[in-house]
Amino acid sequence: MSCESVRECLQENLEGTRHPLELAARLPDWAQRHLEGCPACREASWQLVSLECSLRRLNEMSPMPVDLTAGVMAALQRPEPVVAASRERFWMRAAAVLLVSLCLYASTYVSFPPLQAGWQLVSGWSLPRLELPGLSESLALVGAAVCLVGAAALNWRWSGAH
Amino acid sequence: MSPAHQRDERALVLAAQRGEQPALEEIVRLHQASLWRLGSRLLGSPSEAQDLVQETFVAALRGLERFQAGRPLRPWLVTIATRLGLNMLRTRRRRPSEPLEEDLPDPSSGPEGEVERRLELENLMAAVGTLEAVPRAIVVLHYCEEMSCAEVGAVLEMTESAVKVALFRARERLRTRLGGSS
Repeated sequence: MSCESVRECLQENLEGTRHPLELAARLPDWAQRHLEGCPACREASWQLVSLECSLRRLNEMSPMPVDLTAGVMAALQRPEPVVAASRERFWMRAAAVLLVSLCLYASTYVSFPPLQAGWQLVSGWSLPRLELPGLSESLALVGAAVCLVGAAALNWRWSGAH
Repeated sequence: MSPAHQRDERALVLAAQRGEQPALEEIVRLHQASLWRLGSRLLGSPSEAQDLVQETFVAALRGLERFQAGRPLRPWLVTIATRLGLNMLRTRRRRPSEPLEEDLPDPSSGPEGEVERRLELENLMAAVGTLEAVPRAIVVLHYCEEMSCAEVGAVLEMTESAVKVALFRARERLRTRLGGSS
């Protein structure tokens, strides 16, 4: 059995152990036999138990230097930090981009050759035309207009959030 | 947590959600010491731990309306503190490195046994401070907050087995670093 498997076995049985002998007693026979013949793993088991005992002392309470209640209450009175506003701006920006994209996509439905030529010139490829049942040219135009108004409203709100 | 304590905490949270100042202050008073301990173990710096506790309470109390009264408050606060602490550790990594300071009394004063214990804890904290941010948080939550691997996983959005593997590696690293001295 390799040292690596024994080290794994040591750690699996470490929880709740207070003494290396206690740890050794918890180990399966194969690991105990390995420990008897391997000084490096024996040393590692001692070190692990010692480390475990030290780590369990991390939960000891040390006195707090100051009472933070007043500081927290004062901080709560201050306006919300910019982080929240910037998160809001991010989502508004994303929504505006989505609306503009929808508007542009809706425009591909309109049979207006210069528009299609413009698309091809800008993007290098032509967008597939929307073929949805019940979607007419005028409905696509209305949809595009709604999207544009929505994007403009978001942009206005976004400017206000700065 | 006893049922009576649970009832008290629920009432406290409901009052705080209504914006009652004494209830908000009581929440801070009840949890600040344990969050400060978590912060000082995670960041290794009392002053940064103080900032972390303040930021945690501000974030938690501002978002208290989203908290479901009746659920235990402490795990929620620990989750916020840990995530903010990890952000602080990552920001610190981008700045020039700062030495870790631990809030321990001068080892030259006090009884001999206490001095030894303090030095041992100081060595341990220095070794924990060499771990990467996430393994460090795992060690602190597991030992300082006495959380199981599943609970640590819930805080850090990791699976239980991933936490176990990270804890295994962290212990090995600490063992090698501390050698036989711990």
